[in-house]
Amino acid sequence: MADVLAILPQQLVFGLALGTVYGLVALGYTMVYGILFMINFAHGEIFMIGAYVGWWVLAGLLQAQMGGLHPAWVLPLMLLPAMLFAGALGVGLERFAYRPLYLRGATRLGPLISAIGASIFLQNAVMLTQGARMKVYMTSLLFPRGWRVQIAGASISALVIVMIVVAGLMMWGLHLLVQRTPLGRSIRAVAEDREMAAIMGVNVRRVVAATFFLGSALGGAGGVLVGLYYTQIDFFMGYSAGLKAFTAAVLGGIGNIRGAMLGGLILGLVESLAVTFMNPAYKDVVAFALLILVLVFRPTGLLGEHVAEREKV
Amino acid sequence: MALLEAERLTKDFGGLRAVDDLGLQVQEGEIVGLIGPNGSGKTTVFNLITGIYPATAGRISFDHGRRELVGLAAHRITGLGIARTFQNQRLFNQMTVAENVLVGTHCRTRAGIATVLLSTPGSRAERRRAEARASELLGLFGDRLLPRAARPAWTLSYANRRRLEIARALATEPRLLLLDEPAAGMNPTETRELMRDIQRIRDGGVTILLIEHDMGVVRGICQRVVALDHGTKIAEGPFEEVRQSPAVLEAYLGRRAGRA
Repeated sequence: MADVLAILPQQLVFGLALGTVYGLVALGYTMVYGILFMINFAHGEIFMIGAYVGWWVLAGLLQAQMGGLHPAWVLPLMLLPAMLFAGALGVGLERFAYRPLYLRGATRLGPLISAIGASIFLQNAVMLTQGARMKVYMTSLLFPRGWRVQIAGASISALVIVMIVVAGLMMWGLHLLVQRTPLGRSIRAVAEDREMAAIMGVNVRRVVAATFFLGSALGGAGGVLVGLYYTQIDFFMGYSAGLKAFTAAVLGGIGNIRGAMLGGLILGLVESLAVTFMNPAYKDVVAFALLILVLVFRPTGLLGEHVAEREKV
Repeated sequence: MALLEAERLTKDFGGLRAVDDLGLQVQEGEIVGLIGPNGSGKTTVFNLITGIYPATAGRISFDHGRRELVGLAAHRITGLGIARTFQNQRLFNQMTVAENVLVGTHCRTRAGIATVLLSTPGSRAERRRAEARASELLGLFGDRLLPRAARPAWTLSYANRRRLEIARALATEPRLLLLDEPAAGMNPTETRELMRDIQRIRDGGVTILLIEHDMGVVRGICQRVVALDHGTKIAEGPFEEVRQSPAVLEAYLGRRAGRA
């Protein structure tokens, strides 16, 4: 037991890192649900492709001997293209896989099934073009194993701290964007009453596209961070990570942005505690059992509201 | 041509003809009342003008015949200068009072995703202008809305919610404002205040077309009244004339009373 308590602070920090990344990816699910009432099941694949884009950049830079660049520039250089590519991919999916369906008045199941199809398509596209074997992230060249910080008896690697900071900053940025900017207000207006927003002059299609872009870009960034953390990626990594992030979104109350962040954090912490106190094989059992428990007592999630009133739209 | 002109406007819902071959004109600077019994198609006319429903047939021209509205998306029509309120209030309840108005100002600003992320000096100036405009609009209703600007919209009283709907509609800088039963649920004092507010808005250069069941309001502020029944126009003219028209009496009171 003493051993367990000794590693507890460390596990909590890992949980925090994992949790912020879950939250980052969960935002993509929750934002899209908030305005379209649809689950973008291809979001996990967008996350996976973000990880691949980051890997290409890293591999390219390593091949060019970093091009004389200071290592501190490498992470931004990986994140930016990954986010732009993932964002553009999300916008493309909405435009070609979902919009044609909901514009023609398909039931909500239509875009949902299309999203599952897009998910399978993207997995296979990556497998065929990039190969089925996993790619190795050269994380140790970026964040040498020796870089560790001692906090309250825990030995934390620099990477974990960077993950928490990057994911935290992105969530904070999104929060400011949604709460303080015209675009954010338009997103909230569309989420609350789409028809009324259009009457107020909001270009609903553009707001939907912007929402897909933002959510997908954050998902892509999450892919890069997870790639760095686990040091290996493959075309199937979006499935389980997507499922976890979706769980986080539902746990926090799907459609609620702060809920996704909170859900991610709780899920990450609970998982790392499960690993600490139990057989690590049970961590998913604990995570999903928690989800079921929360849904039994709060069917709309921790911060969710009843959507019944909004259904009139 | 008139500011707004509908010609042979028709809307079918399945087998039901909600608006039937309707002609309607609104001149710049007028306050026009649209009256008629429940189900006579008044709100449907609003929904056709604002692009919520596509018209089955007919044309709606705006800006003295320069713009055709049928077939345009709702946000484009708002962009051309038509705003409206709803009979069943539809505020953005989770947002603050000020934010409700700010949403309306966005269609006159050009802040896209790039300018937002980069926060250019231009976009900051635009934001300040929008915020100043929002306070100005809330100030239209004296101290009813302005002191409550930072509260969530759902906390407002019934009459204040109606006022906020009007302020929010004005934020899109309309030339034509459509009001759907603005006096519904208001007490006599609030109604008198509302009539003054509507006249002031018109004096500020906004043409007004309103649906209203309170005949005191219609008599008090409308220069011209158009009466609908079963989606067709049954009378048009000054209030007293329309009120005494046999077709209107019949529509409101039934056939026998109409004859009497």
